[in-house]
This record gives sequence, structure tokens and C-alpha cells, in this order.
Amino acid sequence: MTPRVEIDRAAPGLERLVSREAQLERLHQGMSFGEGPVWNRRDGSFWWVDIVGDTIYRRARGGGTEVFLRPTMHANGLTFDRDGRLLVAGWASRSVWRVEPDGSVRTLASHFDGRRINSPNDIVVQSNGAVWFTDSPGALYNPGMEAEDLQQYLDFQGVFRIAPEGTPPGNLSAPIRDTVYPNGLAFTPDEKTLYVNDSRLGEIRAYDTRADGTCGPMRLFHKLEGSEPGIADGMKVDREGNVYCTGPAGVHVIGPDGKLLGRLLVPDHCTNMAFGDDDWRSLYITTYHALYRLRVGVPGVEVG
Amino acid sequence: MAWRFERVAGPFEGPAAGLAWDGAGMLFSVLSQGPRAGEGRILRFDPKTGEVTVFRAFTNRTSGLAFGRDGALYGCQELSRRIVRFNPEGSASLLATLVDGRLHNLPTSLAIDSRGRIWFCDSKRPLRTSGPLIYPQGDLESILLLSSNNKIWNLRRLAAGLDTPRAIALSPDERSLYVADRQGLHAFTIRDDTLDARRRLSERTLSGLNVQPDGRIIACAGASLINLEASGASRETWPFPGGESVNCAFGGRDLYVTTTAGELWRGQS
Repeated sequence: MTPRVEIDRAAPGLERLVSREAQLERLHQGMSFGEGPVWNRRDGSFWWVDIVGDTIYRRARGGGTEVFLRPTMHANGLTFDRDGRLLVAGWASRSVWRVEPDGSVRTLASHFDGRRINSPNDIVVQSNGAVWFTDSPGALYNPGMEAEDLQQYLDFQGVFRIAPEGTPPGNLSAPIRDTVYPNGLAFTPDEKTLYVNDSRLGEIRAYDTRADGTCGPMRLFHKLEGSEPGIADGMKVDREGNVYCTGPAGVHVIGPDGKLLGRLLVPDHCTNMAFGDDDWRSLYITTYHALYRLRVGVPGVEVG
Repeated sequence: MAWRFERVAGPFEGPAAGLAWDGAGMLFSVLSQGPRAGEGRILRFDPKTGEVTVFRAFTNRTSGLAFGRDGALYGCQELSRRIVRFNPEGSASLLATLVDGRLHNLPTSLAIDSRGRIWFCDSKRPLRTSGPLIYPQGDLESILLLSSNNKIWNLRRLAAGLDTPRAIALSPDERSLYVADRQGLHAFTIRDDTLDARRRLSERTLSGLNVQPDGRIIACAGASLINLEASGASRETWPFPGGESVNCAFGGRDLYVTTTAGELWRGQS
């Protein structure tokens, strides 16, 4: 039987996004640490990773899960660029890498100012082709998913931007440097604002984006509520600007004004989400051990 | 013997903990707290100039320190629940982290013998460790041994049943292992790579141990240092003016002490 999703602290407005009748459908289980969910609009496949299990999974349209890659040097966040290429936040490889159409792998970022970066955590592509990723120090510290070199060399844990292709190679900048453990990141639908959550501080921060690839000063957008297990980790935005962010007890749904609309209580520890299916109205949720799907009322920001 | 103590460095951003003398300077660890706990540091005090420099930053609450026979510094990285090797060229490496297929708890203090084996104590602590909550701490509070064979590290549990062990040290002949926990100071006889049943040498709660070449033990006991025979009999108690002591180690003829207030003190006789 497919359970209905439990909701608490619901404010008016949530019902339109997540119905009280919405059901949580389990699509896969057996991971150690699920993460990196992303829908591939080109063939209707769904992708995610098991960071500890060191695997990238691919689920074909309609079901049937296969191992796409193993080992992966503990791949974490996944997304697709505008050309349909898979982009990987390479957690323990301490790099961002791309799978080319011929299956080869190309490193897009590994050093900044001559120093090795920390450990890319999650990744998003802007409509102009710029690739943004969070660079928390997790692979340097977290047991069971370590990089070969555990030393942090940068004196910050921030958000990097890889300039769109066509600009000089190695054009890596660090528009955000004031986060402690930057994790999930997502643009508003108009891309005028970038949200970045911080797992240590338990908050979602907002930064205005500028045409030159830099960001304005930090504004606190939302402080996560709840004492249950769960942290700011994955984060996605729908087409109306509502923010879905993991946190204590599950997925927190936050309005464009930064106010909590409600919390979806998900069994197991939520790690990330992705909108998918052809109408972008399914919210896929990874937990440590499983992949779930939930139908929602407002489509998500498209990927790829 | 009387010591004249003076503060030579600090206070820093958190408690000062481990100590290791590199032959010319004293390395000491500083534990950061709160959301920036990962930004702990290992600092180096140069007694010739009085200057403090950063040996390593971002040490994730690395506490106990010791140099190995290979010249590298090893540390107890508490929040990552592992011993790490700080490689001389600046990188850091993992050794082994699993005991019987499971991650151990939080290491605090280590001692490295003449064969390069690393003896360390491991305790369950109410600290938020790094990473996902899929590896809860176990109940065993242990003495663990890391040994390497052709650079492949092996990790074994030698003893359990300790009560929040905080300090570990080897006797000069490497036949005895001393461990301080909340129940007191214990000695184990080492038989190759196993430990015989323990004996309690003292009921005092100690936080740092330093064994002298003649076998005597200097230990940190809050606002005093005590000087013990190898049997555990107390010879002397020295008042320590720097507040609560954490660890002690010699650098040349000087006795260095770290404190919970984040300071490094030096005693001269």
C-alpha cells in the first residue's frame, strides 16, 4: 500500500502545492546514502547516486533501475546541462566532472587560485550555461566517503561558478564565500536570486545574482524549524518560487516570502529532491536508503 | 623540584589540547567549537622567537598529536572519528577506520611506539560528529592499535570497558601502556600486540600523561600537575597557575602545558 504523505505545521497555501491526499510512492530502496536526484528530460530517465555505495543509478522511464557507473569516487550532486550532458559534483574526487557523449569524463573544476577545492556537494546550471556548485568540506571530514587527501587548502567553504563555455578555460570564480557548510543551491525562476542552504547554520540564504557572475550580499531567507533529525541538504524551487528544502523531519516547503508553508514528514532521513516527469509535477525525494516520488500541484523549475 | 610557569601563547579560539615537540618547536592543537568546529588548528610555538605560526588549519577537532618514526605528525581527528597522518608536504591521509567492520568512536590521545605502531584510546562522546547519521557511535570505549604492513594499515581492538579514556602513553621500554579515564590511571602489560589485564595505579582523574625516560609519569590533574612513580605512587604535586590543564609534554628541558582556556604555558625549573 502506498502511504499518504504526512504533513505538519501546514499554513494556508500548502494544499495547492501538496494535497493532503498526496501519496508517497517508493521507487527504489537499498542505498546507504541516496543523493543527487535528477530527471533527464530527454529520455524520461531518472538518475541519483548512493554516495557511500559509490554508485550512480539510472532508472529508465517506467521503471527498471540499472547501475550507470561504479565506482564514482563518491559522486554526490547530479544535474544535466543544456546539451544533455551529465554534470557531477565530485565529492571525493574533489572536482566537478562531466560525462561526454562518448562516455568519457572531463574535469571542469578542481583547483581555485592554484589550490585544490574542498568537495563539491551539489550543482545547478544557470540558463546562460554557467555551472554553480557548493563546495562544502564533507569529503575531508565525513567517515565512509572520504577523499584520498583529507586536507582543506582553501580558507573558505563557498559557492563556485564555472563560466559558460566559450569563455577562457579555467574560468572558475567564487561568488559566495561566507557560508560554513554550503549544501543545496537553487535559483529563483527568474534567476535573479540564488538560494544556498547551510547545513551547519540551519538556514537558507539568498544572494542577488549579477550579470557579471558575481553575487550581492547575503540575506537570510529562512531559518529551518524543528528539533527532529534532519538538516539543510538538498533544495529545489518550483515555477512559482516556492522552495523545497530538506530539514528536520523531512521536506520543508517555504513560500517565496521565506515563510514556512508546511513540512512533509518523510520516513527515513531526506537528503535531496528533484522535480521530474514530463509535466515537472513530480517531486522525487532521495533518503539515505530509498527513492520516493510524490505528485505536487505546481511544476518545478526545469533542468537540462 | 619547582616549576616557574608562564603563559607563552593564547588564548586561542577554543581549548588547547594535544602537544608534540618537533625538535625545535612545540606543536599544539586548538579545538574550535560550534558550527565552525571543523576549523580547528594545529599551531607551532617557537621558543627561540616566541612566535606562533599555523602548522595546519581545518583539522576538524584534531586533539592528541604524536610524531611517528617516519617523521610525520599523526593526530586524533575527533569529529571524523579517525587517526590521520599529516603528510610533510601538506596533505593529510587516512589510515584505517573500521574495527570488525564498524567505525570506531572518537579518538582523543595516541602514542606511537618504536615500531611505528599507533596505540590510541577511543571513547563515546556527546559531540556531533561529521557526516550523515548512519554510523551511530557504539557503546565500547576502547584501546585500539593501528599497525601497518607495507603501508596497509590494520586496526584492532585490544581492550574495552574503559570510562571515557582521555590520555594514553607508553613506558620507555614499551612494555607498559598507561591509560587515564574517569576511573583513574590504568596500566596494561604489553605482550607483543596484545594487552594483559589492567591494573589501576591511581584513582585520580587525569587528562594528560607524559612518561619520563626514567619511567616516572607527569600527569595533568586540573589546576595541578602530579609526578608519579611508575607504580602509581605519588611523589610530588605541583600547583599549576594557568587554570585547568589538559595535556603536558617536554620540549627540551621545558615542560609545556595546554589548558581548557586555550592557552599554552611553559614551565622552567
